[in-house]
Amino acid sequence: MTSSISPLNAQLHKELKIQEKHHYPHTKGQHILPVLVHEFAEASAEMPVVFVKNTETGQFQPVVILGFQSGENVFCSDEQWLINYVPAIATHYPFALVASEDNPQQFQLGIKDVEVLAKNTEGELLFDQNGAETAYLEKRKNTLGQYYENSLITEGFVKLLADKDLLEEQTLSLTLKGDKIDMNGIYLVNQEKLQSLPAEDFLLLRSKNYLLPIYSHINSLRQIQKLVALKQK
Amino acid sequence: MAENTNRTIKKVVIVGGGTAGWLAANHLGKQLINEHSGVEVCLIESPNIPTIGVGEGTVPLMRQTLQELGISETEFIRECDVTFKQGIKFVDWVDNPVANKPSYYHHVFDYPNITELDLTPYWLDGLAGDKSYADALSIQGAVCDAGLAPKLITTPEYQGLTAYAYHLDAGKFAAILTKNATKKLGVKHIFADVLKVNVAESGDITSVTTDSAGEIAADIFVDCTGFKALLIGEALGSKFISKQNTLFADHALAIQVPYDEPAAPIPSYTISTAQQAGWIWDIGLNERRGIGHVYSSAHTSHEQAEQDLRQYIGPAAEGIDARLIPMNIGYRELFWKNNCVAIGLSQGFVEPLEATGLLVFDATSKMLATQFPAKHDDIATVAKQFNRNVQATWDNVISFVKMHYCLSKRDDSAFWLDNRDKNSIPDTLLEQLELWRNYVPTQYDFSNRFDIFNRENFLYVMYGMHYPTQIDAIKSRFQEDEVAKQHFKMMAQRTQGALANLPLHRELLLKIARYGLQKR
Repeated sequence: MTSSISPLNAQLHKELKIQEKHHYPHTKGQHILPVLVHEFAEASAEMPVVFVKNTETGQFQPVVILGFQSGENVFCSDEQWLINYVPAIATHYPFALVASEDNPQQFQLGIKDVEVLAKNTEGELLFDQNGAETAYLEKRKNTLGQYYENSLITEGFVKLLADKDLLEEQTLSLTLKGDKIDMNGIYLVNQEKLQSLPAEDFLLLRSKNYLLPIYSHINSLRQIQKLVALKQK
Repeated sequence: MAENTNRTIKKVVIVGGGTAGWLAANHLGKQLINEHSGVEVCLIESPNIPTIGVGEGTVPLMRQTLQELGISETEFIRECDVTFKQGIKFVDWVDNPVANKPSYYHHVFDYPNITELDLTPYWLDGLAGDKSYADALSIQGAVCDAGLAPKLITTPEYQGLTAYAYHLDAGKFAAILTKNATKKLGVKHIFADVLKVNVAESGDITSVTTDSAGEIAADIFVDCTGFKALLIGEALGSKFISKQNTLFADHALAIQVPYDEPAAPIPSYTISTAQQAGWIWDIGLNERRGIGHVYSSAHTSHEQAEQDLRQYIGPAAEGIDARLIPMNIGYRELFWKNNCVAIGLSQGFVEPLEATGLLVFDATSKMLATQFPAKHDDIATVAKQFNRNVQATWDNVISFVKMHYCLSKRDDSAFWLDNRDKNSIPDTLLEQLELWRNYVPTQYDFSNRFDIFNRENFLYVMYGMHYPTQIDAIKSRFQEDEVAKQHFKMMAQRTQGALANLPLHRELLLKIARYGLQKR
């Protein structure tokens, strides 16, 4: 998925056509993908939602587990994504927000794989004849903007869990085709600690609407068996 | 009040607001102040007396202390200009220096691999080839040489892939300790100068008279007034026993210099480079280096010492003044007398060769807090134990520091020759070194559980300095050659793994400044 991103440009990208697709081949090799706190409930019905540490920053990041090793995504076949729920981050393709070079706080819209997209003969245009943004582009841009806002809320959610010392490293052990596999570096909300939180902290979680995501995360661990079943198909 | 002897101890007053005072305040506050105890701990700090504040090196005990005191490691690292320390690199301590060809050894914090099987005799026997002791029995010397950090950005607070301590800015450290003691632990902070110490006929201190906070009474007084020893020395007359005849260094010249360039690599260890009449410490913080020459004024002049220091640093020191610090080497006859306990320089001091300053302050503060008496009648018994244990601590520290000097083969100045004079070496150390000519040190040679420096530390220094233990007479006891070889091989593999995984020291520090470390 590490393809080059170019800043979107009305001149350069006037002719580009985007085909709305409902399979996500660029996620085929992803065994984990970041998720927003807003996605926990929906995602947890399909796959494990856990926390890992970003190796560059050491910060906790919520992710969904899609496979058992790097390069493997059991939810993605060659032709299609196998379930209804798709992590939001996968749906932005080919767009992405990139930090502006002058001001890292400012973001601009970028587009990936321009060379490949240029071959499209059908699809949605991004700019009209006057070089103004089309309604389609406007919609995609708003979605990304909303995603960014929600990722800040997610950061706040994760920070609160870490500050209240609720996250604990745990090894997920499972048996796959007779082999025992240990998945390391996974952090989960410790249920006992959650249970024994001081009342004021618990109410804080409730007032921020964090209870549903937390319980969704805890319950989602059962989905690991579903991954095993999909893998063994 | 004096009539009712078995009264409960309700109030502790610490006099002195340097690092020692605030370390003591934290340990005592943590142990004594809670809603049930009713004990009050207060610290009187002079707004006028500057602290010495050159202790910039620590040992891993400090990591444990900070964690116990509930201080966030991220906050500590950010606020105290902290860098990591994985040990000490001793340069030119063994042989006469050869121009442009310094030789060195590491005393690292990871314990050598001696627990399952003591690999020392096998190393002596040459089974690790020409690897140094530290490199054969630990991974950390190589980690230091490569300029790497002891942990990753994903490693939780207070945990490491290797054992570590810190280099820090002493002034900023006192500030964070102040904040923790007053804001979190409930220690009372009084700014005033103590004018007079009031002593009863019994020899107990009843109160101290201050210039701006009146007369302050307490059940127990902790003297953290530094070399002045206002309470334990001046008021109660506990004598100072000099150890100058064992450890000759009696002055330090300290200086702070900027890096040649802001992004210069920061060593994750203290560098100690031997000189003609002492040694130079070199500690890298984020923004600057703290460097100092510790020397014996009987063996060199202050002018020469300063010249040597400037020679060592080069152009970076031009136009920057060095600060001269006289040092009293030795300790008090009694560290706890009547109802007064000395912590810090008032208790004792030896040259900072193994970062002993903060270490002894911390260890003895903890000792005091842990065995703190609840009743007045218990003071005498606790004091007796404390005096015995603290003296053993100091004797152990002095022996260990002295060993660095007397194992040297340097003969290029009177200082080094005088250091090997048998009359200057403590008897126990002489005996042990004699024994270790034919035996490998065992845990039974280190039977005092409270000693600060133990077998692991002695091993690194002894064999880093090529101590010539001849194990011929006991060689038949070591029959595990194959297992030992396996261990040496595994250590080499672990070393490669660490070198591949650990980040550069400055790189990690920048990340911690930006993102912080997680608690877990």
